[in-house]
Amino acid sequence: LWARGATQRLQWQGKNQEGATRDLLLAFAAVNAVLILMVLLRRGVKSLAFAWRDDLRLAWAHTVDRVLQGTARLEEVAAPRPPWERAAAEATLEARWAASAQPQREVLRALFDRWGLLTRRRRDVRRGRLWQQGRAALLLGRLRCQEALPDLLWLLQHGKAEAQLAAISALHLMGSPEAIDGLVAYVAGGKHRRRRRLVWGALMRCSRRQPWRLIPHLQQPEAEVRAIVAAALAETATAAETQALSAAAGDSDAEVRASVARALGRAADPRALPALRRLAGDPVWFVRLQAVGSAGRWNGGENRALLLQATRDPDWRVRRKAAGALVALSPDPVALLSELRQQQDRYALEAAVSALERQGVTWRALQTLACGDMLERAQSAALLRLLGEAGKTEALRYAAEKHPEERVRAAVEHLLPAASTRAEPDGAPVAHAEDRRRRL
Amino acid sequence: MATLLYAGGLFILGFYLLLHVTYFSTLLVSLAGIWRQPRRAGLALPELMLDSPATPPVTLLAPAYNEAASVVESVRALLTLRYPRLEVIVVNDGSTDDTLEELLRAFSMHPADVVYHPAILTRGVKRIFVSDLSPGLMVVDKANGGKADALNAGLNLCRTPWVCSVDADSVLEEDALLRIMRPAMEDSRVVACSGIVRIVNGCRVADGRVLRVALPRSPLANFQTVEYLHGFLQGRLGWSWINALLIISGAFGVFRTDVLRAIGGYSTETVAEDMEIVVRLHRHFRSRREPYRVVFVPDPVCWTEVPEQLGTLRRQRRRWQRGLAQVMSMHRGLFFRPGSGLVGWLAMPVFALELMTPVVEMAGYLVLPLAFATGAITWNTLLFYFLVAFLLATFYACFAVLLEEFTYRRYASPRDLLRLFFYAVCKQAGYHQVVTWWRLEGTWEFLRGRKQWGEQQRAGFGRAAARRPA
Repeated sequence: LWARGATQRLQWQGKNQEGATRDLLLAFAAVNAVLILMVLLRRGVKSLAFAWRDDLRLAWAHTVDRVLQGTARLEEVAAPRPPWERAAAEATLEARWAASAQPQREVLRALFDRWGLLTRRRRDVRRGRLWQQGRAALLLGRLRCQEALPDLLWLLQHGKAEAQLAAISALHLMGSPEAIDGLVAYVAGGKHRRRRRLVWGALMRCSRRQPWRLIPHLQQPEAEVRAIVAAALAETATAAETQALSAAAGDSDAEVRASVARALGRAADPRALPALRRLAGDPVWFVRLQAVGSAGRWNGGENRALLLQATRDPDWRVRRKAAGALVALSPDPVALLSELRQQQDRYALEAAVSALERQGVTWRALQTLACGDMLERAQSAALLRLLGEAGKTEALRYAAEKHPEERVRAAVEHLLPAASTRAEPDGAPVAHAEDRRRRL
Repeated sequence: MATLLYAGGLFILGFYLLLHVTYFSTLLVSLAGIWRQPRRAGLALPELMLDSPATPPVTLLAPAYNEAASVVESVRALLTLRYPRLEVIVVNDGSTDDTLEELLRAFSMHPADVVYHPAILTRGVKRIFVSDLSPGLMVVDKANGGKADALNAGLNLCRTPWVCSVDADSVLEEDALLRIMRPAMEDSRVVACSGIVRIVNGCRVADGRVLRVALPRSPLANFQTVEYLHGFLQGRLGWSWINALLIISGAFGVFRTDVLRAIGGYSTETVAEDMEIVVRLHRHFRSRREPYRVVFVPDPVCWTEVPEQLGTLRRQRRRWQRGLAQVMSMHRGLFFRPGSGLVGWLAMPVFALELMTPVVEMAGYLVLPLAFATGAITWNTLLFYFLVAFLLATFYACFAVLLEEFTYRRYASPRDLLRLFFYAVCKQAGYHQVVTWWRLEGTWEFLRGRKQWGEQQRAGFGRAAARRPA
């Protein structure tokens, strides 16, 4: 009975229901078929279009090459007229531009001008659709077209994020110092907040040759503007800006002071030391961190004293930075480690050891244990003994176990017992506990 | 009985209606996203990032377990990525083969007493190695604790403001890191960003680079290719658009280091640590009412290998389902909570529906024939249900192929395109049902409280096999 019932139900039931179901299923199937056909059709059309476009570009490439080689004069070459010809010519010129040196670029630039491509692109920046504006701005930026600077600065004030993005990228590519004021005005307008890194990058690029142009903007009333200007100066400042930067070291905003500290280090000018010393005593830890990092950028008696003082800073990050800087500056790691050990600050000591390890000093000392001259061997042994006494026996134990040279293994075996008996310097656990308390 | 079956049928219908409404909505959103994304990507040029000090330094965290055959090649490829300031930390997660020895030999590494702050607790770190040849490379040797634990160890050692988690056996495209960091450059609210994961089976790979893109030979891998296209181009792009992206693939994703540390690093309590961490990120920022964005960008590509054996695929899918269930259960407090925004009111409920799909679908396969046999529905209706399900799923799969073709067009050969469509259509005739069954098994395992990863075999692209620990 069940089978008979099932067999009967196998037939389509009800004429209307059958029709509606069929229609719906057919519609679904048709949509799927259309999707598949669309993709296949597009693939075919694209293949043909790409082939045609490549032919056009090849033809224009021949023309451009003839001009570049001097076999054809600029005036003899007819400008591209229809839009597809213009697009092909422009793409060819752009490709050649990217691969050319300066004299050839002048010829290419003349071609761009002569064929009206730059004027057209400048018009696109002002009046084109959104993506057209973006593409045009990037092209003008790549060609470093100074005449287009007002257009790009105009685009920077556009309401759409994409347009602003393209303008910032174009100004970055152009790297023109004349764009600095426009970029600062953009920051002051408050539109940059989400694109801070991009604006910062563009400002750095634009101020690379003339960092002094940024200095007046350190007096702007908005802290946000001063911070971004100071951040750009931190990567571009030279000794000529030391005085102005020293004056800005008393800024009310901590971010500005931190960037100023960094900028002062970049200049590597001893005149910056008083300002750096003031910043190294700043109440904000990251300002002190930058000041200490800057003091470690060049060697000198006074900044070494500043760094040594910073190894007793209340913040462990500053102490770590100071120790790292001291390692980088110090020609004698043994003397430095002894000095730091006496201070009984575990973070500073660990930071110094860490910096030494990252520079490969420890491993090199192990190698010279076997093959260096007597003086080198003695220095290496002293360094390794000091490391062992500071509880830094990782490299020693590993070398004792796995170093390929028998002599090194024996020497390390000799050093290890002394290290293990004096693993913790007196008072180090106390200092460590205190550090942890401070961090908490 | 008939009433019960009728009610069951109605429930299944309602469930699928709801599910497909959300699928269709993400499809529409992703359509807008896919149109804008390549154009927008063209406006912020990667070459600008290359020489700009404003580009934030990144550390690549690569956990490795028994990858001796491939680890050197993978690390070399990571070190040669185009990025201005890059460090690489490989975490040897207690490998039982020669993974560590291979690394030490190839990169002339030696142990070092570098500062290690165990801000996030992990299994014991034995040694840290630095390289003489590559200053940016460090290797952490630690006891086996799973992928999340290995990532946490790397996070403790990381010094840069951004970290990127990668699988040691995946292949990143040369400028993938530049592209994935682009949103972070453009928008200071971005705290995490995901790239696309594509399937490397069938491609030609040499020196850690994909030289020729092609579809895999194995039908199983081809079905997964369609699934990946659907999942990434359609699903994640849509969720990203409304800032409700819940998954950043563990194979390739970047995060702000301070934020990862603030939320306590990766969870070792789940097998879906990549999803869990993103949900926790949302929770963290939503509860503080701070502006943030978790984004997906489809142009940075990570090529990864997918299982070609049924057994391995089964284990993987069961694990994914278990992971999804664990995350939903761990963060159940986020559902419909005031202030949780689209994450709590839309994304989490949709993922909960997704979690229930295997149960409902399998129930459907039982209820509908039973309803037909007892006369509650007609043959016509039964056929209608199955055909609609088939055609809808085919539509989504074909649409994913269409998105791929209209945007990135990685599969250049027309033969590959036809094969993609073939597998998109055939996916519903058997493969989908088998995967649904495995997911049902995964649900059952979750209910029984299983937490292990399970073994994962990889054929390797021209390399020896590797297994992940239980």
